[in-house]
Order: sequence, then structure tokens, then C-alpha cells
Amino acid sequence: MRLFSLNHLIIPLLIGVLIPLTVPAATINVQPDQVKAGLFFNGETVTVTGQRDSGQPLLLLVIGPQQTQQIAPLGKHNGIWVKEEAHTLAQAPGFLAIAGSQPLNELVTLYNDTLTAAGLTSILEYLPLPPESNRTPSSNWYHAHASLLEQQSLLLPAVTLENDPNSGTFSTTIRLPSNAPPGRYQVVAFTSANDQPVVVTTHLNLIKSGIVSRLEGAALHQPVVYGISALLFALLVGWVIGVLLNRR
Amino acid sequence: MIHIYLPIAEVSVNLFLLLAIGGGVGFLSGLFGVGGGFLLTPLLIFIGIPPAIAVGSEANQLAAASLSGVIAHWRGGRVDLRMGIMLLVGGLIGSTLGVSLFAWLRASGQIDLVIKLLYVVLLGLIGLMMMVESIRANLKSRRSEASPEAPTDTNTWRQQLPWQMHFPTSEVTISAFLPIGLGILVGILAAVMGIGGGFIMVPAMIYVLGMPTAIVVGTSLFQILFVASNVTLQQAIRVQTVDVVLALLLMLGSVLGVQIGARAGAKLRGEELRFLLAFIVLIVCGWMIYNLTSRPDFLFTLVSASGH
Repeated sequence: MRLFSLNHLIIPLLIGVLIPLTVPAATINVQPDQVKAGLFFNGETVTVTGQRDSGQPLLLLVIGPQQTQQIAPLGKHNGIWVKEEAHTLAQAPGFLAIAGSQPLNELVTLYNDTLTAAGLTSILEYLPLPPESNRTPSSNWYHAHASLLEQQSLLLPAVTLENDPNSGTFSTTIRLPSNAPPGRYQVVAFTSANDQPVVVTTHLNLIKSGIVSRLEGAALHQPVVYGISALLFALLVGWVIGVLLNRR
Repeated sequence: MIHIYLPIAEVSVNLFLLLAIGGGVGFLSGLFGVGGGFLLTPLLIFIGIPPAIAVGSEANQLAAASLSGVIAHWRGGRVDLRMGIMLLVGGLIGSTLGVSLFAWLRASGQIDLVIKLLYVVLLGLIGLMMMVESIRANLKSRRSEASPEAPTDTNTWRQQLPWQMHFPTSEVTISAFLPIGLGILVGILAAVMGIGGGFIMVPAMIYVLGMPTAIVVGTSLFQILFVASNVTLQQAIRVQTVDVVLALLLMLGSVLGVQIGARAGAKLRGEELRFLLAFIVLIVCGWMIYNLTSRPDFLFTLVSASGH
């Protein structure tokens, strides 16, 4: 009986001590976390919400699928603009949205090492950097890629962040355009707690669905059947309309 | 505004805009017997379709539009089947040679430039020649009140070549080497430039083979039907760049447009048709020269992406 009473006393005490240690210094959530690109998909707005220690800085990134890209400068030769030698960019994002609680160059300076430690070195090239810092021989190429992404609404360099400095909550809405590449997106928040950088990550999937998914699957995995079907379908449409509109 | 998401192009486009583009290009196909690829490719790229998907998908819609157009011209007795088969034989040989030439040019790294320059040179030459000839023919017909079809000569170098063959529908007797040779030349250019070759074939059939303009249009569409079918299969199987949703929307517009174009063409005189085609060809040529020589908005371009 005494032991039973002691347990009742000790266990809540232990829980009371342990819970504050296991509560994360920041949380992040994205809604919806799965975006389906069906036949009538025309982009979608996602909402990112979260909380961190009140008053702490925050850098929020939504990073689309990263892949190798080749970018070529255009040069004028004999009066004609032609492609020159291409440069390969490693881990170039297909989409990037950036939001911050304060000027981005301050945040980048603050979380520079954290971004590198998180394996996002290439993403640094797309963020505003203080002059002379962290420039690499490839920086100009990445900046050119950033311009091309921005032209296609695939780089959102300054998304508005709703930020409550008292409670530490934040939220933002990000528009994924219809040309956003399908795949797994990282949603990453960089903040601080107890003077230490904190990184929290969640994911967002943009997937093709319904007829769009089935057609893509057929085109990639059964190209002969897909090609013959596409041709026969075209000939059928042409024949039916040709005959219908030319009846005497 | 209804937007449709294209499964292979991975971009969403306005439904009515695609129908209108298909209809406009189909109208030109029916009117002039050209595939319209030289016009459709830049238009699709302009609205955000990746270039490779634009070329592959327009070949698929062209198969539908050209079959629809061939039926319209066939019913009117305006398809020279015998000539079409000769051109096709040459086209198959030429396109096979052209694929090898394309691979060689691509390996050299300047295929884009070669294609653009070929476009400019060919469009410029053909457009100017047709423009001058059609104006002369128009003036001549006004003076004589006659209806002069393009070349009406009966005893020229065409009759001196071996393997003479009579083509009753076109009412010409020429060496079979001419349509086969023309087919080879257009087949090579079609493979290298990724087009049906109608804008080269139509004037060549008028001026080199001496065919009447009314027969040329239907016969050209007959040949384009086979070229477009072949390109559709090659693009779908080899590089997976045929987007059937894009092709379907374009073909719905174009099969209707081609019918209207074919009927409008039947009401126009040969020299009027040639003048209009020359005018459009020269406008496209001028636009391409402007694109090649004017400073682009961005001095960088993406070359390729790994993976799909």
C-alpha cells in the first residue's frame, strides 16, 4: 500500500521533470501535406504554421525537389545569340519559397553554418548573402538559375510571414504554381533556443493523381503501347471529324 | 477560365487558348496544305510548354488534322495519290538519312543554331520566291483575265530526265526521280528541323513538279499524314515527349480549323493562296531573325535536367 502511494507520487514527479525536456524548441506544420495534381490542377496554396521560443529569429524555407541542372550563358557571335558552354549545378531546387522574421541577410548570416550542416549548401546560393561572404565560383550560375526560377514563379524570395513575437507562433501561405515540379518538398524552419540553433523539418508531397498519373505512367513505362494508342486515337479523331464534316 | 494540367508537360494551360491555337493553325493547314509546325512550335513554347513536348505533341495532333484535311480534299478530287506515294518513298529515305544527320549535328553542340539558321534561310528564300511569283501571276491574270496556274510549261528540263511517268490527277508528265528526290530533300529537312515539311513541299510541288495549286494542298497533307504518324511513334517510344492531353486539345481545335481552311482555300485562286502563304512565311522568317539577333531578356538558359 505504501509502495503504491509512493509510485503515485514519484511517477507524476518524473513526468513533470521529463516532459519539458522532450518538448521540441520549435514545431512546424504544413496543410495540406499532400497536393494532388489532377486534370484540373492549376496550382495550390499551402499554409505553413508553427511555434518557436518567443522573440527568437526565424528563417522558413520551402524547398522543391533538388536535382542536377545545366545552365548555359547566351553569347552574341556574328550578330546572333547562341548558347555557350553549359555549367552543371548540383542540387538545384525546382521550387523555393523563403520567409523570415527579420531581414533575410541577417538570418542567413545567423544560420549560415546550420544550413550547411543540414545539407542545404546549394540553397545558400539562392539566399541573399552579405557582400563578400560565402561566394563560390559557381555563385553566378546559381544566381542565374534563381533568376530563371523567379521568372517562372518558382522562386518566391520574400514570402510574408505572420509573426507573433509574444507567443512565438508564426504562419504563412505559399502558392505552389501549376508548373511546380512534382515530388517531395522539404519545409524547414531555422530558429534558436537557449542560444543554440534549432532546425525543424516537415515534408509536403506534390503528386500527380487520377488520369494524369495513369497517362504519365503509361508514357514512361509502356511507351510502345502509349505511342500506338496516341496515334490511333489521333487518326480516329481526324477520320471521324473529316467524314462527319464532309458528308454530301 | 478552365485550366487543364498536362501530364507530360507538367504545366497547366487555359483550355480555350489551346483550342484557339489549334483552330488557327488547323485553318492554315487546310488553306495551304502546310502542317503548321513552323508556327505551332513557337506558339506552344511561348505559352510555357517545354520545347521537346511541344514538338512531340504537335506531331500527334498533326496526324489527326492532316487526315481530316486529306478526307476533305479527297472528296473534292484534289489528292494526287500516285504523286503522294512517290513523295512518300523519297520522304522515308530522306527522313532516315536526316535522323543520322541530326545525331551528328547534335553531337557538334550547335543543333539549335543550325535549325534556326535553316529556318531563316529556307523561309526567307521560299517566302520571297512565292511572293514575287504570285504578284507576277496576279498581274498577268488581271491583264489576260485568264487563270494561270503556276508553271504551265510542257517541254522543259523536267521532260528531259529519265523514268518519265504520267500523273493524271495533276495532269503532268515528269520523271519519277523528281518527286522521289524532292521527298528525300524534304525528309532530310523534316528530320533535322522537326517539322512536317509542308512549307517547303508546297512551293516545291508547284514550281519544281509543276502541279496545280489546288491539287498540291491535298497531296501535301497526304504526305504530311505519314510523316506526322512516324514522328509521333518515334517521339513517344524513344523520348516520351508526346502529351496526349495537349495533343487532344490541339487536335479538337485543328480538325475543325482544317475543314474551314480547306473550304476557304477552294474559293481562292492559286496565286492568291500562294501570296497569302508567302506573306505568312515571311512574317515568321522576320520574327525568327528578330529572335536570333535581339538581346534576350535573360542571358542564360536551362539546357537539360536530369531525371524526368
